Amino acid sequence: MVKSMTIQAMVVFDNLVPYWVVPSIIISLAQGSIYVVASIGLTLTLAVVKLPNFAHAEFLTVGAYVGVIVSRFFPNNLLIIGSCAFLVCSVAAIAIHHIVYQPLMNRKVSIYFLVLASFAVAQFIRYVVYAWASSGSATLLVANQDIRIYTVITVFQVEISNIYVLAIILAIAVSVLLAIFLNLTHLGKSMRAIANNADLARISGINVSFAVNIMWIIAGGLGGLGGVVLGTYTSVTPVLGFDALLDIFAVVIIAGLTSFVGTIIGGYIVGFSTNTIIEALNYYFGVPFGYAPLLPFAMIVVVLMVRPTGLAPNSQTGIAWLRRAFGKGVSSGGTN
Amino acid sequence: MVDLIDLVATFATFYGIYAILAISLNLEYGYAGQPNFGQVLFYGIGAFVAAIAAANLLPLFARLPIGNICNVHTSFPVRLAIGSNDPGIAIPVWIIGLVLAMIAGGILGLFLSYPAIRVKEEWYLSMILLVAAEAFVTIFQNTPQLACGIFGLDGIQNPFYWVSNTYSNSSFASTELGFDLPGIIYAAIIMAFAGICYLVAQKLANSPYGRLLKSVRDDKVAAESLGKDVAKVRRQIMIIGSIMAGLAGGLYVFYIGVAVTDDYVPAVTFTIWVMMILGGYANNKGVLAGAAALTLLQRGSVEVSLILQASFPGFSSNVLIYLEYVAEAVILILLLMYRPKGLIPETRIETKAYQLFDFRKRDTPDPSSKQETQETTDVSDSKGKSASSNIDENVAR
Repeated sequence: MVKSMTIQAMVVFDNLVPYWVVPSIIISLAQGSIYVVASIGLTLTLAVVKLPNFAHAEFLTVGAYVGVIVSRFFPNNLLIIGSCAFLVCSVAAIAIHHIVYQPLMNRKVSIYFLVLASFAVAQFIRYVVYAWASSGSATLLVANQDIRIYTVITVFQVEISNIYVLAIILAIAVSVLLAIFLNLTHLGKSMRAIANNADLARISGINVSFAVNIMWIIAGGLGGLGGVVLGTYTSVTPVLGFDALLDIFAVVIIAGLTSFVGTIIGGYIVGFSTNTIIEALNYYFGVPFGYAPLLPFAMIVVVLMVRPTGLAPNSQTGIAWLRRAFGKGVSSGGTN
Repeated sequence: MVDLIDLVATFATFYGIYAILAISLNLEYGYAGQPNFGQVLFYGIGAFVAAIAAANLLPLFARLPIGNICNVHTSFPVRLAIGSNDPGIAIPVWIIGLVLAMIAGGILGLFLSYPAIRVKEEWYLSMILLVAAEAFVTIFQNTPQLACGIFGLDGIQNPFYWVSNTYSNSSFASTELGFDLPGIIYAAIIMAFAGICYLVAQKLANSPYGRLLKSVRDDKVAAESLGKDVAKVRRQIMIIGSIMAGLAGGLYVFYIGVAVTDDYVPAVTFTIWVMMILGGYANNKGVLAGAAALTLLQRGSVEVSLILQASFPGFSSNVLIYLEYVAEAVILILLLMYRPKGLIPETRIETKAYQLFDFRKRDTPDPSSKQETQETTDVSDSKGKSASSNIDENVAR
């Protein structure tokens, strides 16, 4: 009796739900997790140093290529691959901050120049990677990390690979650890204080430059980790990060630029929109799959024009830093 | 020698196109403060509109069936044949294509100036324009009905190609001539267009309107409080800049012969920004110099890598081109750090009103001492007034 009902329920489920729904939801969850890991560093950057870092996506590329090289020596050893990528990208992030961003910020240049500088850094990294990847005897322009992909479990006749499980676990772990770090440790609290008001934090005796360095280590390292996971998922190219750049910005903008909860929500919104929603649109209206990037683009434009505070409820800080960053805009009237 | 002529023609072509783009960006960012990080969008839309127009109009004017413009076996040779034989069709089609490219650029500029006026913070606008440029590439790549998708719309010929054909029909054959005569003619025409754009930009900038633009850039609230319609000014300058960028796109596509989305990636926008910052923003002469320097760098790296590839067979020709992009990034970072005003910094606006104002202030209304007065004005300018008083003067005048 029970068994026949279960079979009946499965038949009803199969009839109601098209074949692509369950796999695409799983892919969406995995990709959303990758977006969370990749963009939470950008949220930190925006919150603490108020910099829309367009070079953030290049950490993904660097991390993925570190994964390619390290996995030659330690195949399938995700721990070593991940920590090497984290290390290299955090060193790169600190170096970029001290060589480019900090001198520019000391000169108090306008926000456009900082944006331009981050574009320049992004272009520098991308084409150095291009030149390096194309110069060797065996070209690495399209490479693969040496990580075995196998099916872990099967749900609703859908095989779920270890990469998807890894991405979801990584996103949860990163979110939990970052929440603990920001809310319970002294350094995390001082970082939040800097995000709220850097001058006040400085005169309260917080070591701002130390906290900023730690921030870059976390931001760059998480970018690199995201790159490793993204690189197992697709093949590694020098434009791996650049292709994800606007998706990452979509996540952060949906989050209202500085909200961590918002980043997690935004990551899954973008993950679902580039997989499940586009598949649904394709299935019902025949929209080509190539239009998938247009959904995050549309979200960026709509959120920036209609509700620049993002979808997360508690993200007034996003507007606050923009006000501070510009001083005199149309709306703020140049008073602060 | 012959190689050198072709080399110069190629350089002139690229220089003219980059100069138009840099001048249009300079009008938008340098004078009016609109951070257009999607300049390549207007450039690309101009190119695609001109290409689509040419592909449809060439057979139409020749009274042939248009058919599928993407088919390389039927439509492509027809276009080439018409273009290389019939100047009466090729040149009108070219002109119509350019006009349509400019119109398309202008309409898109009008359309995208809507968020420009509406968004609360300036940084959002650069993000929106960047996204728009990427969306353009995505749409054109994934919609084969528009312009043949990822392979691009091919067979858009130099409108002066018939010149070489005419020569080869006569005794004075093109092969004997030894160099690409249509290319040289087209390079000269592109340079002429760049000159026109430069003159238009100079005229706009060195006028009361230029002063209004600078006031909008420096302090919108002050300009608004003096009764200037800031939104209207920003919309106007965006349309003007977009028309120029569309023209550049139209000119480029008739040179390169194929409209493909790979030519309109954000790296192009970046190059234009480097040109503008290198030369000095809000200074058209400086921007021309910056465009020349960057074009030289780009063409130089291409030519040198071709030579290296010819002499060393194992050499990958792309490495030098990648390194050229790296060099652009390094140049920009160094400029932003050590010379943010560019090689030729912004100067004051030269209008009759300014001179009159200065004469009146100094009580020397004698036109014969004009030269001397200008020099002293420079000195007084370089002392540096406070920003806001400068603006108030600008707007008041």
